[in-house]
Amino acid sequence: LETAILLAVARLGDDAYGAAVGRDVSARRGRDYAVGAIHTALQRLEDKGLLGSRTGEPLPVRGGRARRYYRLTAAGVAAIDDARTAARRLWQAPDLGLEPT
Amino acid sequence: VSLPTDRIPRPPPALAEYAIAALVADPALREAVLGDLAEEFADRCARDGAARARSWYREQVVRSAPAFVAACWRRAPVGHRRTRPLLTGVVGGYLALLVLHLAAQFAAGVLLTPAGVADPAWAFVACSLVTGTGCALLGGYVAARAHPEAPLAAALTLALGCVALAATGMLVNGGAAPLWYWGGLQLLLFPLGACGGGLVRARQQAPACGPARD
Repeated sequence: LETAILLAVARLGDDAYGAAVGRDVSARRGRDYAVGAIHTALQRLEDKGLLGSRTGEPLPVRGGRARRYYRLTAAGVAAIDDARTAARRLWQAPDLGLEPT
Repeated sequence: VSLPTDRIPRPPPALAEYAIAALVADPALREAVLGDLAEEFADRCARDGAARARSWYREQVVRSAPAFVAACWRRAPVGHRRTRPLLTGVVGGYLALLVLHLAAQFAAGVLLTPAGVADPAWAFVACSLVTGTGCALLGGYVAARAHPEAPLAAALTLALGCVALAATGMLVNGGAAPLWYWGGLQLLLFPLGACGGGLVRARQQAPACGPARD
């Protein structure tokens, strides 16, 4: 989930706030994530220094509350690169001989 | 369907909003979560109607609760000053619940037997269920009161503790107590009562922990 969230934040750019990230991750992974799961994961990533955040303007549609926008930090970009390298290494394994039976 | 951000929408269900506000300890995260839910709720009201949107909101509260309780504990590591109120609340809540329930059971036994109740066994069961629920409410209230940052998270931890203790009790000592005691009282009424007590405290604490209103 954390890698998917990092990728969603990278994709959404300046529009990466909790609900938008949740919609992106849910659509791409094909399952509906609860708001709590997305927000606690975003907070975890921020605690790890992989994401930074800023508060936007209060909006009437949100009951006067502001959006919290996230962006990748340098460590977050490095974490995505690491995840991609690790996945690529896994798929470079010799032919697994996976034939349908 | 996406509403313009300057439109004032229908307010989300108040109790569900209080529950979310009382589950999230971090004020900045609380505002972000409540805001996102309000925004999505407004979209769903316009798309699916108010009844389905309210149902979606309540479902989000239930599905998000475990993550928020876990986050509450994760952000308060053992030994840290933020752990103590949470731990004190949960332990204190359970002790309050247990001692009061045992005292009420004892008092019921003392009062019912000489009073010549036709079927003292059933009267005792009913009395236990009523006093047990009352004590669980009080236990949840005590736990929530000790952790004002996220009162419902403390009460839910107490509820989970009750379930764990009851499950252990059933396995270790199941034959010694009737099924209604474990199933009805310990597994159902204690956790529900604890959550109810937490919500009562959370509402009392409003607007500090409640949703923002302009």
